[in-house]
Amino acid sequence: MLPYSRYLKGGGRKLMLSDVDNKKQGYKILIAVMPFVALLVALFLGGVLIFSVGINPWKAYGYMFRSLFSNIFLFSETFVHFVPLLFCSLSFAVGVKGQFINIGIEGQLYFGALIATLAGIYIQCLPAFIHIPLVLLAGVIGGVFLFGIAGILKIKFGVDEIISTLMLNYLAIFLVDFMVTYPLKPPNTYIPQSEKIAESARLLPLIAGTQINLGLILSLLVAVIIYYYVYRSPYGYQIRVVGASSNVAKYAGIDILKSTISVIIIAGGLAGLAGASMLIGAQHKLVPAFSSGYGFQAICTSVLAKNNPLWIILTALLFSFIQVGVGSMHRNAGVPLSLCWVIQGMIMVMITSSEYLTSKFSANLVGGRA
Amino acid sequence: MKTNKVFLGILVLVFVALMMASTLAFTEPLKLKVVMLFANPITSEAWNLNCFKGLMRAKEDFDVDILYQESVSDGEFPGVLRSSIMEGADLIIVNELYRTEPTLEMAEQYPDTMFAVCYGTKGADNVASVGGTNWEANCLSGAVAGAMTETNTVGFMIATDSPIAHNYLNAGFIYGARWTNPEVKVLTTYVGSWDDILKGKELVISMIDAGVDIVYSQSGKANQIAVQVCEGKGVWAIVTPSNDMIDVAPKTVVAVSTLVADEIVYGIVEDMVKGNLQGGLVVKGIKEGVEDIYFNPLLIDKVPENGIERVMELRQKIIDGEVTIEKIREELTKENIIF
Repeated sequence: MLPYSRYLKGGGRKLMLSDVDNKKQGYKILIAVMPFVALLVALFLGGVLIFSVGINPWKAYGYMFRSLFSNIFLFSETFVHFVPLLFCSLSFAVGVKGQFINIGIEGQLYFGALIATLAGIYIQCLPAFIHIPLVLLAGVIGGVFLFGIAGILKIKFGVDEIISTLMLNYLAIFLVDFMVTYPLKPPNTYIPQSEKIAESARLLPLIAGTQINLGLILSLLVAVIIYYYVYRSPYGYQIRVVGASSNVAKYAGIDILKSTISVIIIAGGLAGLAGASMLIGAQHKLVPAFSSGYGFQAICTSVLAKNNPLWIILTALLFSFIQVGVGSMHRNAGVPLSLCWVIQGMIMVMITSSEYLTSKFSANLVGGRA
Repeated sequence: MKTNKVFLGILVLVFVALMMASTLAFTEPLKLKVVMLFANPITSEAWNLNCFKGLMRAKEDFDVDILYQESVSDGEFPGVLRSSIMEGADLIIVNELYRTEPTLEMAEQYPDTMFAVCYGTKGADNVASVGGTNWEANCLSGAVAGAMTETNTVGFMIATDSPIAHNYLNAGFIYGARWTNPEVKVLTTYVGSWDDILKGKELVISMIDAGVDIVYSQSGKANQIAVQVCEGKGVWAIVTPSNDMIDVAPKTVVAVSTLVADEIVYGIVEDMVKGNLQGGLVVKGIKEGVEDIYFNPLLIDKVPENGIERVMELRQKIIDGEVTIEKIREELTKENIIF
């Protein structure tokens, strides 16, 4: 018998304390590697499907990884997707914390880009260090304005924000379509698009030839700020309490209206910032249908990260990798597009499902049932 | 905790090794590399399918590496274009005219890569914009519609409401309709998308309810449903872009406004292979055999005889350069006709 050992009863079996420690260690390892395993399983199943259509899966995945990691120029393409997706996912996460299910992030992104475009084109003769923040601020105002409409409808009239934000998407997207086809379209072109924004409003790449610009750094900074605001500040605490239970918030003396308005401003602003960052980063002009559905992808990205801003950085990066990678797989290896989408979906489903197992193992750890 | 770190470290190493091994698993063939980027799925409508057919025919006939990507959205397009360039494409073909500008901007940054835009509106030293006129075949379709209508009201359904739709497609169609029938009224509607079949159906029904007895549909996926609605309502239809559309309703489709997209794409690849592909704007119309009007042999007797003569007369004037889109717009503007 080992010194200081105790016999524990559990399920009819007697366990050694050292056995409990070993099992806890095992669960910790499983929790840590579960997403990797889920990804590998999804890739394996995807490989089977690729093989079934007569394509070498090794080659297909080779193209996928090569497009991401072979050189910095290709790698940087991921950030074109990453930056707006991160902003949009942060927007959704903040909304959820405040009990706002914001399905209108896509529309807020478009409207933010529209207002930012106006600031970028019609405000001239400013130095870049003033013009760029001004354009970003314009984007924030655009996003807040659109989400604010849904917010007012909810506060004043009890309109479900899922419906109102969803419908506002169409308003914003088609408004942009109209604006670039008529009022904003330069007279010397037949293509629906706005003029280019002033040079002082454009972000230049930090590394020539890549898509790495200040927008990337800004998005990461904002993610950290949002984390600290939501999880480490009293205002964020109030938002979370209101989101968890408005009755508890009321009895705790929290100003619910003020907290709700904060959520609208932050969440709407983040979505608008996504649009503005796309404008000043890569596009430099407003065109129809410029977004790849980041507002809707944000929902999955945020949920997978459990609405934690710091985890959202990783999930947004993962989804950006997948989006760029499957495109390359389709283009270079000839994997049918629909199959690429199946593989993309499978990766997301497997990783999301792994969360279930992770939470089970975590429960075992916390509950001491190991 | 130490075990965790070691385990995770091994896992990361395995992952990285797999990644690196997979990139070495194949060798790059040293052939001319052509990449074509489609805005929509290749099966979504005849335009994309015909472009794809031309591409595959070029793959069979020439010793080139042909790659393609479908459903490249507007948002993704610049990134995919850049990735294709980084991956060593010698020629990138884009089959969407609204992507002319982003292609030109990218071409400026990468002068060593050749680009081609099907139906592009501008060219450059390393950008060959090759396509049709966007108005000649539509003009002839208008002429057929004007000749055949008994209610003096014809309908034109276009996919997207854009400056090109107004200034080329619609202007050409209205002019053609008035050429054979000066009293004709033209109802033009816009689906707003290349894919919205339901909206296309509703628009055709509403046009027919407004008195239209012949519908010309140039609206992507909605073309087929437009023909089916016309068949059900007993009115005539004209469609685009290829003759096989007659098979949808042989007793309804009186003519097809043809556009040989496959020849455009095949020609681009052929020129590239032979070293003849030049930058610039190349517009090909009826004279070059890229656009035309094709009458359904089963229904040609339904077209008034003088109508066919007038259509052919207009066709000749277009070939001879007597009728141009600039003159059409000028004339319609003088007569206060909105297009």
